[in-house]
Amino acid sequence: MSTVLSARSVTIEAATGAGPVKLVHDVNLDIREGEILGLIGESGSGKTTAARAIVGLLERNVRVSSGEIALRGKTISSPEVDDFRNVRGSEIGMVFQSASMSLNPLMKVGKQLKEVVRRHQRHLSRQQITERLDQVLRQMGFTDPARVLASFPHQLSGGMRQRVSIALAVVTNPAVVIADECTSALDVTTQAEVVQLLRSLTTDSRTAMLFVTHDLMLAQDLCSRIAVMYAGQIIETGDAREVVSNPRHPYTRALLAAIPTWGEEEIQGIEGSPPRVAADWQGCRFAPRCPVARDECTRTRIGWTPTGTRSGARCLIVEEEEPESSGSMLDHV
Amino acid sequence: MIRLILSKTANAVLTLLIASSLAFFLARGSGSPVREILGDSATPEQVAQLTAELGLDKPLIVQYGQFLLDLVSFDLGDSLRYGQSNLELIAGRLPASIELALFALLLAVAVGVPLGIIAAMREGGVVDRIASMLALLGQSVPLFWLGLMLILLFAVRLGWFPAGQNDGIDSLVLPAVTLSTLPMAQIARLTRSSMSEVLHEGFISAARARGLAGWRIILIHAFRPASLPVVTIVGLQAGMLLSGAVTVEYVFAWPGLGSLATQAVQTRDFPLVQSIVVFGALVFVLINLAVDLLYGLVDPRIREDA
Repeated sequence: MSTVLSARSVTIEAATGAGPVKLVHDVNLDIREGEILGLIGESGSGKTTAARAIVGLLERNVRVSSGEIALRGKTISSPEVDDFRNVRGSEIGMVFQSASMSLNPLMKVGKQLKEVVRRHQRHLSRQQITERLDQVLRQMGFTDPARVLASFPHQLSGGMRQRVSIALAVVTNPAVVIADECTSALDVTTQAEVVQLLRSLTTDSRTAMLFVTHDLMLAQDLCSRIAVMYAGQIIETGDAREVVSNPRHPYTRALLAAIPTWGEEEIQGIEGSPPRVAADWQGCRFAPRCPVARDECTRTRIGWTPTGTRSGARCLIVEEEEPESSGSMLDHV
Repeated sequence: MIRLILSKTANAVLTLLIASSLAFFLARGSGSPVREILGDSATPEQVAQLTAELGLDKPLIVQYGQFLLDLVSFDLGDSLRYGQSNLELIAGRLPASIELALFALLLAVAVGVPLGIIAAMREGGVVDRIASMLALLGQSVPLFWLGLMLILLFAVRLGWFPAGQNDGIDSLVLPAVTLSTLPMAQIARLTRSSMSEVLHEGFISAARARGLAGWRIILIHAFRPASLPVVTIVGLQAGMLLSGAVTVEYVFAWPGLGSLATQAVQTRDFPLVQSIVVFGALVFVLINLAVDLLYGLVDPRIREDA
């Protein structure tokens, strides 16, 4: 299985009146064919910023200041890549949080789909485009594609709209799909429907997917691997089931403990709140809220400790528990 | 769609009734035109006779009833000064007014819309700053002054265009340019703010994420939803320009409705004033109706809600 999308030491900065602020710090990711990587984090953790950087949708004052994002080994994060627009929408598809964010309300679904196909697959004849649209909508579980194509977004239900947004993201058969909280706004039944759809997409079309969410249990269910973000850094990564059943980082543990279970008297939250982003990145960002933090946690730079071939954590305690590793700086996620 | 048209038409009729009633009472409140017509030397008998002839001796409510009855039968009465049917007078001046209004409006849209779009694309950029300065100027410069300055420069000094009157396309340029400044400024400002709002919408980012060409995103995805308020203001401006560009027509001696209205007011020719107001209201109502229907064409959601 080859790596489709990778991020190497990606740092994202926002230019503000008070100087640059790091929103995402030293992030490493690898997503292989047919693999779903769940990017977990609470709001403000930088997960959406990281996802948007991949699609090149950062705000004007925000930029990838160091590191690189590569698609099949080719850099796509540098501003010099002028054919980046050809990559967007053809090799990378994006599904947004809600369909109202991804669909033009004044344009029929068919026209929006055709527009993307025409943009990226010029060689297709009118007939071939029609066939492709029919095919992709059936793949998205629509039994009457013609009616959907002739509809405006507001004429469809919420779940249908989100399936249309997914169709828009995959109609060009991209190698990677970035799904940003794309199930969060849906009710439980529709959510299950969409999750099933995403799953079949990766198994049938071998699409690689970055699934951004705050829902750890959903990620465990859908994703093959999980990366947990906290305050702009990835603090733990590994096999989805492994991360949930045997979390290494205290933050991941706290997150899992915070999930309410049946018969529980009181919901366990995490004390305190995440730090505000700042230029200074000394020490562990979770230390102030960490139940097992020690003095040195806030003082030393915390390196990445591999705990397996494709797993690891950013924590001093994990580093001590792993005798072979010596706090490698090379973060291989 | 049919229901939309019906409800809008009912609204339009009501608006028309209110506007013409206002015109009726305001004109009556400005004093009697009889002295104006007969002059200072008229005897009381003559005054009384003409007052009776014009029906001005009847109670106001009776006059109002007669006015409404005439209105329903499309009878706007005769002008006191010209002794001619008001409808004919208005019809005679209308082509010149339409010509001027249309030209000014086209100019305003042709400059205002692109300027607003470009300004919105780069907020705080050079074009944006120049555009907002021009818009401010356009909205604050008095039209009579601008008209006079243009005459001074292009008609008197350079001799490129005639200073007034309507003869040929040449004579249209200066009044049209003058008349276009206010709508142009408003259209540019509104286009900018409306575009800038739409450009921050999620579906625009989504269109970018799909790799669509920049011009396509701006013109097809963003401008269409952004055009709704612009369509409204263009409609309002069209009504305003058509029903009498009073100042500009006066400055350029343009033989349109505006100058007819000025004369009518000066001579207290209130059947004519009334008629022009009713006509103006009709123009406004019709244009608003057209704008409402256009809304439905631009935005399918409005079409279905009605």
